[in-house]
Amino acid sequence: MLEIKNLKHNYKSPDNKEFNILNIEFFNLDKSDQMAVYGRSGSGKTTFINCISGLIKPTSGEIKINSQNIVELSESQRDKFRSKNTGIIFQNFNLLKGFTVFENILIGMKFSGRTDKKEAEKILERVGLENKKKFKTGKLSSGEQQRVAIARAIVNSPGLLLADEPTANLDIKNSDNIINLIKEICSEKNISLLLITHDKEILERFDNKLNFEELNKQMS
Amino acid sequence: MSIFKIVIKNLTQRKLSSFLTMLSVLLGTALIISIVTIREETQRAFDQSATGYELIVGPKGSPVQLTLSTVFHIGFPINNMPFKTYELLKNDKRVKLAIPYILGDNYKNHRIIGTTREIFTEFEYVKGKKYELSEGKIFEKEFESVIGSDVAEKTGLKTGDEFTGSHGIESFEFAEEHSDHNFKVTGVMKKTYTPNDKVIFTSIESVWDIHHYAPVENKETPESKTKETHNHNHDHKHSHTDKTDTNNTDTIHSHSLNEIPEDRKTVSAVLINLKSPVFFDLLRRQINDDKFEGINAQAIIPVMEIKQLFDIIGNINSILLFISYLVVIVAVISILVSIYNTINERKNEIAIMRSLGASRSNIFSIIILEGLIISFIGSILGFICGHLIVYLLSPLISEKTGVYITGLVFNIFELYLVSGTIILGILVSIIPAIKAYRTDVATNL
Repeated sequence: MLEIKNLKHNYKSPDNKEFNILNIEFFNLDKSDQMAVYGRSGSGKTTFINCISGLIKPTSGEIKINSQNIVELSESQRDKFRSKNTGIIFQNFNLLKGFTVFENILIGMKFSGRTDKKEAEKILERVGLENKKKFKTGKLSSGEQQRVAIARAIVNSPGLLLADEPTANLDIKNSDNIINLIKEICSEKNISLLLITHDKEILERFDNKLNFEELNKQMS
Repeated sequence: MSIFKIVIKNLTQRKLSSFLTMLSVLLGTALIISIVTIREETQRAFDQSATGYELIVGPKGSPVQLTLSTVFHIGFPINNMPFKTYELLKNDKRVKLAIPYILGDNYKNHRIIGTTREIFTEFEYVKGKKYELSEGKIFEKEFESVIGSDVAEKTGLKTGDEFTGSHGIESFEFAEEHSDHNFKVTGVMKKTYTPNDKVIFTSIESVWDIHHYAPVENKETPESKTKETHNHNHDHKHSHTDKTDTNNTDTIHSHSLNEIPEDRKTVSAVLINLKSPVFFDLLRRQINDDKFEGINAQAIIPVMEIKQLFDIIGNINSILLFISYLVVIVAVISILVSIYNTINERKNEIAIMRSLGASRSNIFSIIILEGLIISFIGSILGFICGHLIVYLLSPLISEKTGVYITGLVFNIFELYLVSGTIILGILVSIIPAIKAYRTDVATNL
């Protein structure tokens, strides 16, 4: 499903010096696998996720999703690819505030070229928000907002779901519920899950765990 | 959810800012549309109203004043001329039609004009069109009158009604009424959309009879242009009996005419139509050079006077138009400022859309579409409001200028203006669209 080889990404500092942030020789995630990645802050986990999602083009290397090396794609091709194949859940939810719950889901569909209101309603029902579809997202609790984000990320049935600290802004109870929901949905839909967290309790819920610092051999 | 819906949602999220930007475009467009419409319609109405009047002969003085007071019933007549002038012109072999005009009093601000029945039977106010009556008949006897359609609408007068004129050509609070002379309405004119819709026509003798006009002075003086253009003898004794004694008269009060001294029979102007255009220049030159039967008058071509008047007004109009263009440009720039300022606040929103798969060109089109919608709605509403303003002002303009405008005349220029504003709206949106296009996704999520 996801295969990464010789991935390198460098940042330029304001004084024009280059810093290596990612240096990953090999990484693999099979179809329907669910993996939790942990590591200290600043270790490059979010950059890793951004490279896989195609939001950032890495300096070099290969990122194959469903056999498609996204590093070779142009920016607009990566945008299109992402809309169909990769769902992303963020720590701060990243919902469109002026739009309703239902509109947020539909916008998630829009850029992949689909408009299936019935499917959107089904997903909302799955995350338990069918009664709040007309609510503006700002009116929802944090847990509910993250549910909307989950629904939006999976509405296009992506092969890969990337979750970057999805419970960082939630209380324990909500964190549990959200992790359960993400894991269940991914199992139901055969979606591969790559979840980043620094929460040890959440980490324990995953059989497949990876220390990011062992994976990423940053060069100084 | 379509891009269009996303754009509408974005605009409604910032209701006040979007509304104010649209309003500025609306005001700019409405301003230009109303100025252009008023100019076009006024000029057309002036030209059209003046077309039937080939030549006007009147006392020496300002040709524009003579045109305005005779054709449009605006301002005061220059002075009066001897009736003899009319008779000489009428008897000239080159003249096909000569109609005398004498400005009398007013009834509720509607001027009473003394003339002959030929104004209805012979005169064509537009080629092939004569004044027609919607009810009643043309005046036959003294103190009978035909009222314009506006007079009927505004005063409620109808055939058979009587009214008393007030002294002077405009009403004022303490205006003296000629209560001993009641006019009777014998007919109402059909609407012509010319200044004559708001006047009252009566026989020339009726006007003389009320006033016993003073002898004509040969030289015009500035004082003669004041409200009172004639001396009014209120102590005159009318030799005719009251209006009821006019029942069986075919000619208009010849007995009273005989009692008005010849030097007191005057006219304000004479409308002339010639048998052939070849006589036009010669007759005009003869009159203006005082070589026509010794009369002291001027001959003018109203259409030319109107053209000259509009040449002068046109300069002021151009300045107004220039200012309006600036208003539109400022309004369009406000679209730029309004959208540009929001891009910083919307960087996170833009990054979210990009993370959902929106391409840079999707984001670019969303911003351009916002500018397009603001300028489209603003300029279309401006177009409607511009015409609405003229429509609502038309009674006032009609009252002040004597011409009828509707606000419903459309011009190809307006299409250019509206489409030009929309294109400008799109062009200025390119700047914020580029800023949105360049938004870095990873750092703004």
